[in-house]
Amino acid sequence: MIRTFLERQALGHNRLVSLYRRFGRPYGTQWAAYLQRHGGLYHLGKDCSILPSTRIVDPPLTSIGDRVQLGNCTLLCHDGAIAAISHRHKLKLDRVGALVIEDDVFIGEGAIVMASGGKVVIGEGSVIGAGAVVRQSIPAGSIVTGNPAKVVGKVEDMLRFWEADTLAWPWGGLIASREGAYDPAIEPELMRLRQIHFFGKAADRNA
Amino acid sequence: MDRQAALEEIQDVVRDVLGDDDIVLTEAMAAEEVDGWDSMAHVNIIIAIEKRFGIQLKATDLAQLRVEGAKLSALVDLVTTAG
Repeated sequence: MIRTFLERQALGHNRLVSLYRRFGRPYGTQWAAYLQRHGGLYHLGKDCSILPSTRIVDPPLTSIGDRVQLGNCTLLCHDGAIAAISHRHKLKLDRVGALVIEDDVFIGEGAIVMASGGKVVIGEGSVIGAGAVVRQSIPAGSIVTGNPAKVVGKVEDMLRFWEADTLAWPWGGLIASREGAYDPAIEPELMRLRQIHFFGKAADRNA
Repeated sequence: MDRQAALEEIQDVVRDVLGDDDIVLTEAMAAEEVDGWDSMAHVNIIIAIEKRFGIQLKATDLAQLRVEGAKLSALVDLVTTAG
């Protein structure tokens, strides 16, 4: 009940937002819905999932497409050092950029995407791995890891390998028969099979 | 191509991808017994093998290689029967 109240206040009136983040514990899709109304982004598309812990430092210079999923990452569109440098060297400098995240992009935990020296475009369908530090545009459909970030593969090339891995799991049949990407009805059995596979036996809930 | 020749070709590719000329493969080995043959290397090795043999393996073929304890004989089966 309190969660619903906080969600209504945040989404409807942009009030009690910090309480909503802390106690409402919004899902990524709920937080994206909040940001769509009150986040101040240049653009935020439909059906996105953005964790409340995601740091979008320059919303007016950030454009996000449809079905984008952001983990606990940081999106930057300015060079934070420039004020100190300008002051020390008595110059009037500006180092900013714009960040365009196209449709169906995934950005993982701890990744930092910096558009501090111009416009950076993360091409549609790309996967930015956890911890990657991205400072330049990424072609569509790329898999990117590391610091500095490098394209290590194409999503399209990996699909049959991921499909093979899924088929090879002892629970591959359950995944194949699942409706959609998540079904709470089969989650307990999925987890039991995963625990048996990785630990040798299922967790003893009575321990 | 006979199985021994295929295994030698595979060994050559694996040595090249993993940068280790001392690797010796047998059909009874599992991929995880080979130093450096992790999940990322697996992708690079399979793509290099496909290029070497002029084949492309399907997801259902690749799944046979990812079953726990799968032996390299399964990979030899695939490259000697594909194409």
